Amino acid sequence: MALFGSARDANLIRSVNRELINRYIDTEVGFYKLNLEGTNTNIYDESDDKVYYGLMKMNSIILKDTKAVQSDDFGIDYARNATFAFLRDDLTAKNIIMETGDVIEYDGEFFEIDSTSSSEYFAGKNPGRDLGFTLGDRDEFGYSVSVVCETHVTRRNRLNIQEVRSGINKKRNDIPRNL
Amino acid sequence: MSKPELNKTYSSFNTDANAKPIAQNVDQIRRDDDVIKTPKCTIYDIDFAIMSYVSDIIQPQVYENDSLVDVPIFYANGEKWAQFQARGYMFDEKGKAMTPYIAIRRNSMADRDTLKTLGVNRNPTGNDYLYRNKHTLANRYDRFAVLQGVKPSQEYYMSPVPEFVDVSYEMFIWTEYTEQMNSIIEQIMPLNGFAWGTTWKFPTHISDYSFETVNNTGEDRLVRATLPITVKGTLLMPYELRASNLQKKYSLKRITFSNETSTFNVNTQDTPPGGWEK
Repeated sequence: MALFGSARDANLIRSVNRELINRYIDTEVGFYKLNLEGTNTNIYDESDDKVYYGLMKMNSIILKDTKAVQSDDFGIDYARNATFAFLRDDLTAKNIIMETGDVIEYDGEFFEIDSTSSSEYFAGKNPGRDLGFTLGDRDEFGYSVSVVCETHVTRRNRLNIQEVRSGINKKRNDIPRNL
Repeated sequence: MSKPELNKTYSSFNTDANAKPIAQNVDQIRRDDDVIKTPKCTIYDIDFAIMSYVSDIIQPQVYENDSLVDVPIFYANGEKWAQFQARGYMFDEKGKAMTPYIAIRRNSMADRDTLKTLGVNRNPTGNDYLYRNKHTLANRYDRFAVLQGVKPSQEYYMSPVPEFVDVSYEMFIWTEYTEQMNSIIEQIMPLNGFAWGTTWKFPTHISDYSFETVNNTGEDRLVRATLPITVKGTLLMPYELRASNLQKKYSLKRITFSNETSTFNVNTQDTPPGGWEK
């Protein structure tokens, strides 16, 4: 049985992390979870009227890359990648599961999640998958600290979250021009 | 070593001194007193025809989030300020481009195979289109002209035969969804072979449509298509060899026949002094 990394130690780390992220750093981001029941896809696995659950705000530690401007035959555009790290216990408490395709709003940009990982463990053990603990051979050790999301800035007109065009929109039931 | 002096710099049999055109009064007719516009159809006109036809006649539209959205059209690789600031509606508040949109680029231009010219140095005299102006200031009713039996002078304008070219373009279409791409293609495809343009019109053909859908990690999904477009264009430049292509000419008012006797008062009948054999 390991000498360090017990549940008591993990609680200390957990409380320090919570205080650090929620009280001192306190950088809020918005999280939009895709509503699969409300979003219909076509044969190309795409949907131009996506439905999201309501905005959820949570604290995060953010590593945002600089803008990479691209200019080619298709015009000017920019790309940016960012890494958002969340305290896993905060997400668990709010019953939030972050997955590829969900959207994070931060600093006026919308980031689509490319991948998520939760493989940062205190004392190198994830209690949920620690064989010694799950088989009942020993007490709880370790602590799964974070959920890290690798993201990229996405075009907001595809999200259907904000109204991005003004003045020219017509409802679908309007008769198209020339008919 | 000094540079040798060349006296023949053209691909001709004449020396430069003899190759220079001799100025004649008949070729020096002023153009500043007429209101005839020099006809021209330039490369810009062909580009404009294609751009304006797509943006003003086709006017592609797509549905996006239950709204009908006009698809912006622009010439590819314009200046950055124009692409970004003047077309701010294509970007969100952070500068991220919002699809869909269409960019058009001219790739190449070639003489049309079926209407190739010989390409000799200058157009031979008379190889022009001839237009007659119905009204001429010189033809005002004039009693003196009637009395003198002077015929009205016709005013002609000569324009060279235009160049017939095939201009190749590429149309880049970028949409968010494959359904939107289908919709745009469906709006453009039936117009294949039509004469595209709003002022000048040129037969336009679209060849193979190539589609590209990319979904890489770390960037947005891309749905793009490239359409090669061939335009049967006509080029008539306003100037050639630093001279206006439109030449103004007047018809002859009177043709007078005379012989040596009446012109120079030459005695052609009597034997010259000293005889013929001297």
